[in-house]
Amino acid sequence: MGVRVREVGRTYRKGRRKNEEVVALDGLSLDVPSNEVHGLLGPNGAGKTTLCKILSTVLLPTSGTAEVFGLDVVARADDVRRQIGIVFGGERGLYWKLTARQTLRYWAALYKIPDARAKGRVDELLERLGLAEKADDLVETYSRGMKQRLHLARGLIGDPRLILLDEPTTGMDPVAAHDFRGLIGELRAEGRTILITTHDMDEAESVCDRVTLIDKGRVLATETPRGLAEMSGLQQWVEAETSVDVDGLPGVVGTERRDGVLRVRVVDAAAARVVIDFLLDRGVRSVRAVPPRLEDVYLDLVGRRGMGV
Amino acid sequence: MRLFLTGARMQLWLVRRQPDDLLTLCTIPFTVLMLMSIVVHSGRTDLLANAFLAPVLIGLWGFATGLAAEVLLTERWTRSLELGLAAPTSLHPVYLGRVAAVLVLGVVPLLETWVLGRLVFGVTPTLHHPGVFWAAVGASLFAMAGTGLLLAAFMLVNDNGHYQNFLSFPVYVLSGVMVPVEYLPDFLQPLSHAVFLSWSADLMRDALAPAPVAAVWWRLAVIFALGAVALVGGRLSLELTLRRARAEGSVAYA
Repeated sequence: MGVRVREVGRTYRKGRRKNEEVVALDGLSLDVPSNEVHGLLGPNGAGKTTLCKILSTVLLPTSGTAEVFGLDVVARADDVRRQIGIVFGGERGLYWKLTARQTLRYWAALYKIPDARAKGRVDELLERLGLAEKADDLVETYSRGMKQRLHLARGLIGDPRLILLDEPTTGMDPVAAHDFRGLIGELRAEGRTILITTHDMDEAESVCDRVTLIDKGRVLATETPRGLAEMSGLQQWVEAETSVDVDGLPGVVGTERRDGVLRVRVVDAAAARVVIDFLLDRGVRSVRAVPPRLEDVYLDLVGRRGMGV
Repeated sequence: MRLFLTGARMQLWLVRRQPDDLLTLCTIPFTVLMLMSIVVHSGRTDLLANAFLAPVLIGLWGFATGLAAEVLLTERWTRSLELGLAAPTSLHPVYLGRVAAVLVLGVVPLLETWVLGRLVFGVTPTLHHPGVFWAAVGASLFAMAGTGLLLAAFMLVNDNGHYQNFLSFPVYVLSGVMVPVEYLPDFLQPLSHAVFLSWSADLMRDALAPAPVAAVWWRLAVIFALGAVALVGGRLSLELTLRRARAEGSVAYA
């Protein structure tokens, strides 16, 4: 098992006299098998980052236990650190006045990579992450995507078995984010386990083997993105490029138009069949049934309060 | 040792690219001009050594309290501290290396002082005992590195520039860098023995005087010992601070 979390709780003391208790994790349990890409989804303040911090040993749990490859994150923190790499999203955690090469040489030393091997490892990562040409430029001159690739290179310097990605594509443009997701696939193919926190449902759907929805420090559900959608019981959608009116058909809950596409919400698969047959009979050729998306499930489960804190 | 050197090298890379951090060095000439003017125009050439050494030691202390102590604070702001804590190595030697690298630049005020004394007033103190003088400088740098680590840990707990500024002036007074300790009230003088800078200043002043320097090894040992106490204190303090930060969840700012 890559990650095993059992009944982990974490509270913070806040306020001037530290007399206000805030619950970040409330008895959270989670299993992530080795070599799985696992997404942690949830609104701001749900506890995703807190869990990542506990797994990376920089935060102690208030209760419960957490293990990384069978190693307790509190009792065997030093051993756990050899197994993990952390990658932040955005521009935090980088030294802007260093070059990418200097950054990686610095972290190579902190990951106890002998000097003789460090140079080769740094060159290899710079090449792999597409930073070789700019390796000797200051980080402050990098684009957001390049900074993120440097973050990933930094996270990989110790050749970790578990990679914790904390909102890694925050602020990236679509092309950079797409490339980054490709890299995640490569890392999985190398046998690494990846735990990724994200707000981006498309990202979670495209890269994660399974996702866990978290809210208020508790697990709401853990499933494959498709399985989660199916077990959610949410209505299906039928999409068609037409202006035909279907409102009166049995099983139709509602309709909406988006970019010239009619979206019909139906109660179940049988109702979807009725709508599709109805449209095909009227000569509409572009029709398809669409299962609920991960985003629909997310919004349904966390109560449409993604902007909340 | 490798981690210490890694920290030192990294800090020198950073300082080289952030010349703003060296502004403290630019303040030294003003102090030199002020003190030398008073000494030269009052005819108190017996205080020449004080006037030369004060800017040097103030510069050294300024670096320790300024750049060195802010090393950890900046790490916390940028969340690099969090990444460092997750690395499978002890951070103390890395940060000690970074603090020590900053302090190497603390010898620059020494050169500035000598050059300004010669150019503006046409005087420089004679180095009667160069071996003692440089040994005192070396011991002082070691002690300042230990003190810098202690201050860095302290700043991490009380990340507030007011403490940093507040600490400087009592140290200037008690160390005798501005005013000889014997000029202070009797009840304050024993306190100065606990400040390594007072031993450093005394030994350096004696090294500039023609008379033989008494108890050189003992005085060097005291400087080293006070530095070692600060170093151990800094290491323990940093360890406890980081442990507490992990428990409280204050390694990084929210």
